[in-house]
Amino acid sequence: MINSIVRKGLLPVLAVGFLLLGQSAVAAEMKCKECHEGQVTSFQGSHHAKSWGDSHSCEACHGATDAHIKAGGGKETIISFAKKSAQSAEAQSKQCLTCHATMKALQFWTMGKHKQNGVSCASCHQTHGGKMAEKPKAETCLACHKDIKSQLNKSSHHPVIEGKVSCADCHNPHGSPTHGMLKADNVNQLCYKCHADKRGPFLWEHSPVEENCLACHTPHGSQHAKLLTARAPQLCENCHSGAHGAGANPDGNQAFGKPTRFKQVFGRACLNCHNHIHGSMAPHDAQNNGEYTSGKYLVR
Amino acid sequence: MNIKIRHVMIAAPLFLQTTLGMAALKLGDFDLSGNADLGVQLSNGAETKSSKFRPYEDVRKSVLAGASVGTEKDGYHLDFDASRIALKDQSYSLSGGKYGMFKYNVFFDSIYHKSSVNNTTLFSGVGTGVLTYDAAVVDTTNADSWTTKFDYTTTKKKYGVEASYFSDAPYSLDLGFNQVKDSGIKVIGVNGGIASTQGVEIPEPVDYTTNNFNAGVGYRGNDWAVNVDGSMSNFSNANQWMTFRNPYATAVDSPETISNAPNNAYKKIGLQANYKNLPLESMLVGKVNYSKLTNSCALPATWTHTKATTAGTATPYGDSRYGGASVTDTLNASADTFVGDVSYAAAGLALTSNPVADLDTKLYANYLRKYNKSTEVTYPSGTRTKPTAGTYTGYLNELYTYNKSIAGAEAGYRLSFATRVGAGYEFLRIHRERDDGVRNIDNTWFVQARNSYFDFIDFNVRYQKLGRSAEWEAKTVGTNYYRATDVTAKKQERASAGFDLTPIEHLEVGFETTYQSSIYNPDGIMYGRQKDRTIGYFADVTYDLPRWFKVNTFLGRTRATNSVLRRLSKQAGSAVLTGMNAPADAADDQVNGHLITYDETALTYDYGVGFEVPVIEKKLSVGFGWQQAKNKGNIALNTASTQGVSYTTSTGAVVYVPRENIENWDNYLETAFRISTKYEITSNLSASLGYTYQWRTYNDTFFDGYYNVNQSQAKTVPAASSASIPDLLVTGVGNDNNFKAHTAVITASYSF
Repeated sequence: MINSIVRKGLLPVLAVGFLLLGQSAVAAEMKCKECHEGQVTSFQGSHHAKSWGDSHSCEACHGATDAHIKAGGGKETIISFAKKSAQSAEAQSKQCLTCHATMKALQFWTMGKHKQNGVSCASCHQTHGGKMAEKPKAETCLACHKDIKSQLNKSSHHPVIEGKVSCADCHNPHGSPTHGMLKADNVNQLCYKCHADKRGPFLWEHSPVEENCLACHTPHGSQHAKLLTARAPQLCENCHSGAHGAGANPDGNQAFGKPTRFKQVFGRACLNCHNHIHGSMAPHDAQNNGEYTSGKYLVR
Repeated sequence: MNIKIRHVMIAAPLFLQTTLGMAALKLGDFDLSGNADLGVQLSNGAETKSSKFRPYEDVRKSVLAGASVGTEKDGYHLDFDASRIALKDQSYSLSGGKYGMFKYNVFFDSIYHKSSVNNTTLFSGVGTGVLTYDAAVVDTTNADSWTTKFDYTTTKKKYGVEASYFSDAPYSLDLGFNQVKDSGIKVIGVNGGIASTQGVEIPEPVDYTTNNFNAGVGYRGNDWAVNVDGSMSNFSNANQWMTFRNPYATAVDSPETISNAPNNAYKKIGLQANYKNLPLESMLVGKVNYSKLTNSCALPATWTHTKATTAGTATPYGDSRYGGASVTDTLNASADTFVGDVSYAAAGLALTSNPVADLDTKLYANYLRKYNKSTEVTYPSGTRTKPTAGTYTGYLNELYTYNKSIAGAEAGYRLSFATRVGAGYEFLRIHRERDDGVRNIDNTWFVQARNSYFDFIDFNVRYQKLGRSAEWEAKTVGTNYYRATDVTAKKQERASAGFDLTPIEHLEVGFETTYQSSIYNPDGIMYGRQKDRTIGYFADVTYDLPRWFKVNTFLGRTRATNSVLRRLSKQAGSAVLTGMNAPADAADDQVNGHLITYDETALTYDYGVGFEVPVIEKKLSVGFGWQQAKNKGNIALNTASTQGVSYTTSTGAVVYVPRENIENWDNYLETAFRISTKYEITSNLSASLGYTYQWRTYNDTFFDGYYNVNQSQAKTVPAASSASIPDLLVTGVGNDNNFKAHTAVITASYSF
C-alpha cells in the first residue's frame, strides 16, 4: 500500500493533508480552550493526545462544535462524557467504539452486563488523563459494586484491596459470554488458573468440588477462613447430614473446653481428618475399616 | 536493622535529589517521567505474632523502595514499575508498545500470604516430604518437648512475558509465557489411628511449579472477526507423596503415606467468532472451546497404617481403639497406575439485536460438558481377621461426568424520562453421572429498571426468581432425606435496589441494598439446610471540596441466616427419643435417630471514615482514616433434644449434657486507624509520613484454647473418656488471631 502511494505520487498530497488536518485540529483546540481551558490542558497530557499528536481535534470525540458555540454552550449541543451528559451511555460508548470496536477485548461488549445496564466507557476510563489502558483499579469497580466492597473488607478475602489481584484478573468488564463476565468457560476453569494444584485429575473426586468451587467458597470475601460460605462442620453437613452420628453436630457443649468435645466439631472440624476435600490420589484400603486412611474418604 | 528515622528523613530526599534531580531525564529523544520512592517501614513486630495482621503484606522493619518511569512519543510508550523492592510482596513490570499496533509486558510479581505463624510440631523434616521424630527426644504427650517451629505461609512468584500485535491489518497475534512458583508450608489434618477421634496436624511442603503458555491468532474482516486461542499449563509438585511417622503407631520405621496435589498437564484450544451487520442491527457471537487435563500417577501396591491387634498394647493409651502396631496391607487394586483424562468441551452462541429503536435483545445458548475418562480402579472386597473378624467392602472410584445446557433471552427497552427497563428468562439443565443428584432444571427470570432522568440521582431496582427442580436417586432407608444442598430442589428470590445521589455540588451519596432468600427441597423433607436468607445494606458518602478538604465515609451491613435440620444418631443406651421434631413419615428416624433444628446467623459490618485536608495548598496535606470490620456469629438451637450429648467419665459412667447454643462463631473485630502527612519540599520532591494503629480481637467457641493439645493435657481435662477425648496433636494453627500493631512508613518521593 505504501509502495502504491509512492508510485502514484500521492505522498506530497497526503503530507499536505495531514499538515492541514493538524493545523485544523490545533485551531479547533484553541477554539475550545477559550471556554474549557482546564479540559483542553488535561487532554494535552493524556495518552490520547500523545498517541494522536495533532491529528485529532476535540471534535473527534465530542462531535461538531458549531451548534455548541452558536448556542453559547450547553450539554445538549455537544457529545459529553461527563456524569451529567445529555447523551445516553450507548451514545457515549458509540463514540469510543468508532475507533475501539475492533479491539479483541471488546468482542463481547454487546453481550456484557455493563452495556446492558447503561455503563459507558467513560464510566470507568479517563479520556483526558491517566493511563486509559491500565487495568482498572479496584476502586473503579467498587464505586458501583458496593456489596462487593463490603465483602472484600471481610476477614478472609483475595488480595484485591491489597492490589495483588485485580477485578479484571477474573472478570472481563467489557463483556463475556459467561455469567458474571468471567474470563473462563465456568467458575472452576477460572479458579484453576491460579489454583492449579486443585485441578486433578484425582483418583477420588469430590463431585461438588469438580462442578463448582462456589458450592463451598465465596470469591470476594467471607467472615470464615478460606473464603468459605460457611464453616465446617456445618458446611460439610449441608450435604453430609448425619455424618458421624451425633458427634459431628455442633453445639456449645461440644466446644474445646467442654467434656463432650469432639474432634469432628472443633478446630478444623471435618478437616481434622478429611483434609483432601478437593480430591485424593491415595488408595482405598478396605481392610483398614475403609475410611480411616482411605483416599476414597478423602482422608489421605 | 538499626535505622534511625532522622537518618532516613535526611538521607532519602538527598539521595533522590542527587541521583535523579540533576537534569531532566531522557532516553534518546524520549523525555522520561515518573517518580522514585525511598523510605522505611517500621513496626512493633506484630507480624511475627499474628498472621491476621496484613496477611498479604511483608510488614517487617525494612527499607521501602519503588520507582515508576515512563515515556511516550509518537504513539510509542514505555513504562517501568517497581514496587516494594526486595520485599516478599515485591513486583516489577516493564511494558511498552505502540498504541494501535503492538504491546508487550515483562513482569515479576510475588504474592505473599500468611495463614498462621509461630507454629510448633513434633516432627523434624518440616519443609520436606519426609516427616519423622525421635521418640527418645520428643515426647508426643508433652508439647513442651516439641522444638520444631515453622510458619504456615506461602509465596506465589509469577514471572513471564506477554506480547500482542493488533495493528490495523486484519491479523492479530498474542503470545505469552509465565512461570508460577509456589513455595512455603501449609498445614493439614490427618487421621492418626483407626479411631476417628485421633489426629495429627501435618506441615505439608508447598513446592509447586506451573508453566503456562498461551498463543492466539485473530483475523478481522469488515463485518466479522475470528480468533483462535490455545494454551498449555503444566503443573508439577515436588512432593506428590509425603510420609510421616504416625505418633499413634508403635513401629518406628513404618512411615505412613499421604497423597498431595498431583502433577497435571492442561491444554486448551478455543475459537471465537462474531458477525455483525445482520438484519435488525444484529450481531452474532459464537465460541467453541475444548480442553484436556491429563496426568499419570503410580498407585501404591501396599498401604501402611496403625492397627491395634491386642487390647492394652497399643501406644500411647493402651486402648485397642487408639492406634497400635503398624500394619501394611496389600491392596490388590485392579490397576497399578492411574491415568487421569478429563476433557471439557464448551460451546456458546449469542445473538444481540436492536429490532426497533430503543429496544435491545439478546438470545443466547451455552453448552458445557466435563467428561472423565480416567482409569477406573477397583479395590476389592474381602475378609479380615484383625482387629475383629469380618468382611470388608471394596470400591470402584467414581469418575464424575456432567453436562450443562443453558438457553436464555433478555430484552432492554429505553422508555421516556431516561428510564430503562429490562427482563429476561434463562433455562438451565444439568445432567450428572453421580449417585445422588442426577439432574437439575433451573428456570430463572428477572425484571429490572434504571432511571437517570434527574441530574442529581440515578436509581435502579432488580428482582430475580429461580425455581430449581431436582431428580434424585433415593438411597437406603434412613438416608431417604439426605439431600446435597447444591443439587437439591430450590426456590430462590433475589432483589436489589440502589441509588447514586448528588444533592448538592461536591456531595455524593450512594446506597445499595440486596436481598436473597432460598428454600431447599420445598415440596419434600430433607436434612441439612432448610432455608437461608441474606439481607445487606451498603452506603457511602463523599464530600469533596477542592482546595479545602475531602471526607468520605462508608457503611456495610450484612445479616445471613441459615436454618438447619439435623438428623442425629440415636445415642447408645438411650431408650426414649423425646423432644423430637421428626417428620411424620420419617419412621426410620424416629427409631434410629432424632432431629434438631437450629439457626446459624452471621452479622457482619464494615464502616469507616477518611479525611484529607490540604493544610497549605500544594505544600502540606494531612489525612486520617478510621475503619472497622466485624462479625458476630452464633448458632441458636430451636429444638432442644432432651437426649443431649453423652460422654463417659473416668469411672465409666455415661453422662448426658444438654446441647447449648454457640455464642461465638468466628467473631472478630478489626480496627485500623491511620494518620498521614505529605510535605512538598519542592515541586519535584516530597516527604511523607504515615502511622497506622491496627488491632484485632477474635473469639470462637471451637478455637478457644486450641493450641498444642496433646494427649496428656487432654486426659486431664476432664477425666479420661473412652470416646470423646480429642486426641489431637496440633500445631497451634488458629491460635494467632489477635494482635495490636503499630506501623510507620516514612518515604521521600521524587517525581520528574
